[in-house]
Amino acid sequence: MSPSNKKRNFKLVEKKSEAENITSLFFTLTDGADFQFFAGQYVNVELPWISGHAKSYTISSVPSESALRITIARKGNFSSALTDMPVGSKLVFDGPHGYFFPEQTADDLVFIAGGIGVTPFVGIINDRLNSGFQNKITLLYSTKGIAQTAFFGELNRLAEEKKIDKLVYFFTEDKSKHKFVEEYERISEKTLKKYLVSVGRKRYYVCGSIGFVRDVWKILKEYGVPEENIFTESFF
Amino acid sequence: MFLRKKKKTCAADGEGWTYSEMVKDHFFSPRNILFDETDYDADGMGTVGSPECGDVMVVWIKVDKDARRIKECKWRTFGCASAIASASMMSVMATENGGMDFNTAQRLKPEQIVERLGGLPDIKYHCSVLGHEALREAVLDYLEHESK
Amino acid sequence: MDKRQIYLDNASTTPIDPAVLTAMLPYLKEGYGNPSSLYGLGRSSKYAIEQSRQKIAEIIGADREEIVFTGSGTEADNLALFGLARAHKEKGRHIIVSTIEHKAILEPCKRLEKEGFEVTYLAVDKKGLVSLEELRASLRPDTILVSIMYANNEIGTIEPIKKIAQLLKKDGSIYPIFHSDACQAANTQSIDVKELGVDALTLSSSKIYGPKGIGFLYLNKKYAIEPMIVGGGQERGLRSGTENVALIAGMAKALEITEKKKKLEGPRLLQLRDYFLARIKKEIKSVSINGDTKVRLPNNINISIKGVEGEALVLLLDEQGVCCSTGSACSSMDLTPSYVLTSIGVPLELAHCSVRFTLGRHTTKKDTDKTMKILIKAVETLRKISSIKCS
Repeated sequence: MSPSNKKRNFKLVEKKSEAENITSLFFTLTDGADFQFFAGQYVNVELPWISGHAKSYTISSVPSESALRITIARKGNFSSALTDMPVGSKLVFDGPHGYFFPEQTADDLVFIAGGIGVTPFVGIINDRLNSGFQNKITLLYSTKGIAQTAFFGELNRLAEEKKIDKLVYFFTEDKSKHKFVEEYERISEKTLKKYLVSVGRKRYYVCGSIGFVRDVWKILKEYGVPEENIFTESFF
Repeated sequence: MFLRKKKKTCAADGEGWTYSEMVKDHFFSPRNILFDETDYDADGMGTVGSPECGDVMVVWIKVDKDARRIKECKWRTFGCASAIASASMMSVMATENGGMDFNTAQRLKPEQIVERLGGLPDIKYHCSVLGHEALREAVLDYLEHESK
Repeated sequence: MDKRQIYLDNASTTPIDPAVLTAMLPYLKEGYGNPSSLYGLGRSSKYAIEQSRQKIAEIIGADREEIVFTGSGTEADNLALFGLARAHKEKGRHIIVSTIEHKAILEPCKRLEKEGFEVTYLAVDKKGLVSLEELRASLRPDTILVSIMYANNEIGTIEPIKKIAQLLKKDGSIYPIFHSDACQAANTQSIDVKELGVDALTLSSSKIYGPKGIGFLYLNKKYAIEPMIVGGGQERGLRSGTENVALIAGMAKALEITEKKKKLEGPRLLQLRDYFLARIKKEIKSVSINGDTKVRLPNNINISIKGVEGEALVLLLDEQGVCCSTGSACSSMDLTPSYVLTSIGVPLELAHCSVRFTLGRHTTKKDTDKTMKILIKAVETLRKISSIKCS
């Protein structure tokens, strides 16, 4: 059963820099008690003075948190305007929307993220852990380097505590050594192969730019992952 | 001497305005349009998009309740050539080989539609997203009514 | 080229007039000398350039040294904005343009804002007209440049250039400098700079049945300007690079022909356009016109056909040999609908349904009748497919 969709009023209560050009914005409801959503869903945000229609942003927080968090990469006019909004600003969100999250399943989960594409996974991973799901979780996360990696600290902690069973960073520019950095080039057929051992009862969730998702989709299929075990969400 | 390995891509992947022959075919000869829904007894219906966005897709399905498969998938779209082609291709995929089961239909991805179309320029990717969302809405609509 | 093609996108570009091609050929064949060279072959190229410049200057009522050849209308617009702003920044840093200027004006404005200039973007009314009152109210002691296009490329609105010039120059002051992009207007409107009262004017060869890759900026000689392309010092240091003599000769010829035909061409296009438009309104329902019917280029039709998305329509028309364009989001590289249409208040859902026909020198009544047949069929097809019903 999906939570109901409609327009809700929110207020920006806090901002936090997560990485270079990536900011988390925290919102609380101003028109009622409850905003129900599933971790991994997104909301449509309206900024009428920038654009005639809304843009979609993934919720990176979990439903149990008091504030709704969206984590934004500053790319163009819309995302810049949103990132620069002063605390206290009021916004209208339409949602939640989307089906990019695992429902009740015991399958192993492999999350493959390109850049800001990690946002649904942060919410989903924390939500699974809070809800007591026992899935084995693998996160393959490609960014330019440490400075550009959102949630670096949080993800490392989850990996240390074995709450993420396997965390692998793919750094495309940064050469820093780090425990969970195993690759120093982008996710490609060559670098992804070794993590696709025994595709068995696994679900693959891929999130990132259109090109990133398309490339990973092709690699996964070529490697024999059944199409219906691959789930995609492209940011555009 | 370093040779750059040639990546196998299709002409319409990513770049510019090139439409593949398949996209053109589904645009000039779209399949499964429902011209008049007045007497069409649909089991499920899904609507996505908005006129403000320049894309509105409506999908109607008839299902095989026992086999839990899609029997018919009809649609109409206000949108560009890619939107029309995506809707047409989606409707073909949903009904071929005896029809998609509900699970597969809900898991249909934009990438699958794009692949069957022989690729779409990146700027048109969102049209294939509409196709997959509209189908999912129609299936969910049926399932919601079924459980009542 | 396909014989059955009906070309109705003359605002985008025009076919080269055969006489223009003839004028260009010698400089693509035996006349290849570099105009900067000392020997005969170079000198004759130089002579050809200066003759062309003289011809153009005479046509627009300017002096020869007030013409700078550029690689396009866009380059001339860039030179006007960047070159004048930077050269006069000690006098002020305020610039005024309209919201419906071509991107070749708007993009330089955005960059100049990053350089510390302030730009006022004047809103337009639903006809696309700039308000003289608002312009007057926006003027400041530090306004150094005003750029308002002569006629808009999408909706054809003709701005009151003479009145604007009178307003800006009434005190006889040097500032602000008044520039106008006349690329779309040149075919049918007067481009006599003295008559218009402009200090600077841009023209593009590709819109007046000349070759692509060449344009010019007229700039009144009393104003300094900073060059954008520097090197060998050609064009009096204002635009370096070995001159393309063939293109220059072609553009001059194109302008000469355009001037000769102007008197008759304007009324002919007007009659044809109004005939075509009347048929569209009569035979296709739920069509709205974008922009005004009167203050408009005589060859421009811009309409919204409810329930019919622009890109899809253009492609269906193309399949039947008709070339036109659209302001829909799905036809743009950044997925936003035409900013010109939204600036004049066209609702988004109608902006996506917009189509533009711009008639040209070769357009006949037969073309418009044939297009009607094709258009009616295409609209019918798309309305059957459409999920938006029109009443």
